[in-house]
Amino acid sequence: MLQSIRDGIQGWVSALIIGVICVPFAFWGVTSYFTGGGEVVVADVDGGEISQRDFQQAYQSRFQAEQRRLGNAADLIDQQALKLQVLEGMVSRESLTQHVLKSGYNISDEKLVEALRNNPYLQQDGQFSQSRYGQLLAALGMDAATYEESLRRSLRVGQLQTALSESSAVSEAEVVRLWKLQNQAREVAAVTIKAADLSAGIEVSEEDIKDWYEDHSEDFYSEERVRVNYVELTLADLTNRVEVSEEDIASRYEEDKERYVTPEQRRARHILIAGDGDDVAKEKLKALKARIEAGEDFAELAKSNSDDPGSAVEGGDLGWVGRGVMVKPFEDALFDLDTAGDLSGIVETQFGVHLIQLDEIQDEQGQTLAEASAEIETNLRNERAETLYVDMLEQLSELSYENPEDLQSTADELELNVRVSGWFTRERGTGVSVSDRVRDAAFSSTVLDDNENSEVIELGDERAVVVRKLGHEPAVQKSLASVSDDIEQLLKNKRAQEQAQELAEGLLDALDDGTVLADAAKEKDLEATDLGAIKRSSSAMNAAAVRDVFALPRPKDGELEAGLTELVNGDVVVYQLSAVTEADSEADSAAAELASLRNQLEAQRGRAELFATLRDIRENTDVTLHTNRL
Amino acid sequence: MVDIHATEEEQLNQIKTWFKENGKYLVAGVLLGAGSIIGYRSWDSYQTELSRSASAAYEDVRDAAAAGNTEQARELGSELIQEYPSSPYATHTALSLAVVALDAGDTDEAVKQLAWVLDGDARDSLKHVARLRLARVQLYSQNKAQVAIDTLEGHQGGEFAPLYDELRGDAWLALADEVNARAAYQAAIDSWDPDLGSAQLLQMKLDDLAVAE
Repeated sequence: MLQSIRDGIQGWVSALIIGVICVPFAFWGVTSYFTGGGEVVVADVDGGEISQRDFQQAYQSRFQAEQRRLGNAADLIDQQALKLQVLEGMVSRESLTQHVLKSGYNISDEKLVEALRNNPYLQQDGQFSQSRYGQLLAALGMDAATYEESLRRSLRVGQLQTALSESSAVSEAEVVRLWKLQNQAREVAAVTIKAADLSAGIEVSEEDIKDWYEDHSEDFYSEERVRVNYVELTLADLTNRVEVSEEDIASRYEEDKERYVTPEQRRARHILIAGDGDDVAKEKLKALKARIEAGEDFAELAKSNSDDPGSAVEGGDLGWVGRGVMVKPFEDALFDLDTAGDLSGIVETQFGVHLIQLDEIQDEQGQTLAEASAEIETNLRNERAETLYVDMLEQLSELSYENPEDLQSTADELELNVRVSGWFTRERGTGVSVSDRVRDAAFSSTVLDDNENSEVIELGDERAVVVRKLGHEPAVQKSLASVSDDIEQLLKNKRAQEQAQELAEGLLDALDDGTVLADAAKEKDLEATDLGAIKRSSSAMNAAAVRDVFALPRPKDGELEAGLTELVNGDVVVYQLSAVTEADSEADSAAAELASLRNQLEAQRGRAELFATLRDIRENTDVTLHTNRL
Repeated sequence: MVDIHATEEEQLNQIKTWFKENGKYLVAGVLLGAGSIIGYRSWDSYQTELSRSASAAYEDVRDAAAAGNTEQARELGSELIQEYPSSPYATHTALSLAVVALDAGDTDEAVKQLAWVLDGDARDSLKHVARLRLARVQLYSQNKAQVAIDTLEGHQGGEFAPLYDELRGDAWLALADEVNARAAYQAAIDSWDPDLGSAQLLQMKLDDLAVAE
């Protein structure tokens, strides 16, 4: 077999195979060089990869946001579901990115430059600053080409989105139709049958109460509850235990100096004569220098003479420059100048020869040691408290496990207090028992039956507790006497609601033959109110009833339509509809509303079309998820 | 090729012979490989160049349309479509020109632009958008409800399904066919996704067609 392959690899076949093999090898190394290679990938989106690291970062920030939002209920977060949700969001975004990359969207150089120049973060004194851009790149750890490529990506995604929403239109006829619907008026009479009024006349016998108590005995148990002793370890308490000296603060200030101090920056102009800096170039520059010294404008001369195209149009202006940005000879010359307006000598660099004019100096800015001291102390305290916390957490775990029959010795050893909780049940608690993990631990067999300390329960945000049973009350059946009043009220309400319902249905039946609501109501000792023409926004009736009125069929000529709505409080509204009136869109007062509805519709339509498009792109993208790596 | 039992010199000779026989093919192979790489690279950078200039041209059309220079937008737009017919920017340009035409009251031109997108090789998602917009122009700006229904006919719409159904409802209602309109609105509500925005207006349309049970 192998021999026959060898024999076969000859002539044009071998040429073709070698050719084909060359192609992947030429790209292989290059791709992994660009993407960093070897990263764990949680999703492959049509060739675009979502790394585990990026996912973790996105998930953590989302998780923390959820924790802040939910506060004490944060334990309820279903982390797996949240992870999938975060991943889906990233996959959708990546699908869109891949889509625009592969379907011929792109950003021209002019647009890219415009986006960079207009980014307020990259501006100083309202102008694009090369040194700010340098700082941003350094902070991101990217080179300019990589950053610009990623900017191009996000710009084309934005381009697709604006292109769609900008071209969405809503015609006048459609706006008018919806406005008429929104402003339709309906002539309504209504009567509300109040359950509360009926319950006053309802008698509930002792017998009924007893029957209900026996039939629903499981509803009348007190809840099992416990109270605990606990030891709590928190980072906040530990910040007062750690020592931070003046020397510590001073040395941290020196280490982190660039955080507290922005180094000196200089704004300058230059004229470049490109080339290898021969005498001709130098002479030319000297002549220019003489003209400037004689009073000519540097900027004008830069415009017409400088070989640096980027700055020449700006009158030679280089923007704000710090140390470490320009080539060494240039930097030295610039920082040797003393006052604004000074001119340098002839400066030679690899680009050619330069003449530099200093425009402005911004001195070193920032906080002195004394000013930064408070912030640094807080940071140092937190850092040290965190180390101490980790250490004490381990001790807490060991000590409470080694001394299971009491909590006091553990607390003494760690110089913490034993505290006492209030009573709490399996489902609800206050204070420390707000956390379901604390409640689960308190009701676990170790704590409840074996009278031992719980394990360490970590509550997040550097907070941990160990609990120990202090008291326990099992669930007991409440006596009939203690719940009799509650049952009486409950039965009264129930029957009142049933009566209201019956009454309303009877009333509705009476309207079947075309009787007017006011008359039918009078028959039953009720009083109907003529509400006149109401709109959808009317507050003359309960909102749920208004909604139902507008979902009634339109009455045919001279006929009436009727219906009823049960409200959450047990009341029932019966209403009768006599006419539907369309609003007049020609009226002067309508113009402003029509315009605002039009804007609303345009926004809504743009959003709907955009969303459906994104979904469609996502659904038609080839995606492989590795959910086991989340 | 090489016999592993042979002496070094014999092996060397064998290799030389092999090269003599196959050397030109090896060189041809390497050239073929290098050729395809260079070919691919230059094709790729040509495509990039093309898409960038299409993008810049599209931005010009947008700017003209936004500034209200209808004539200029049309001129630049049709140039773009002619020059880069298979670029997504041609599709977006046609969508923009349709709005420009509508604003100028030229509904036939709007229909022409949208129909061009449907006949071209735009991505499906953009075709859905174009088809919905075309049917809306036919229904609301040209009062041709039946034509709008025919435009939508046979398209489920995928992720756009609720938007298709709502529009069908509007069209049936314009033809005074309340039964079909009701069914279409109901279908739209059933498949509505809250991410599409509020369904309140849609619910209002449906409620207004209520019939006695």
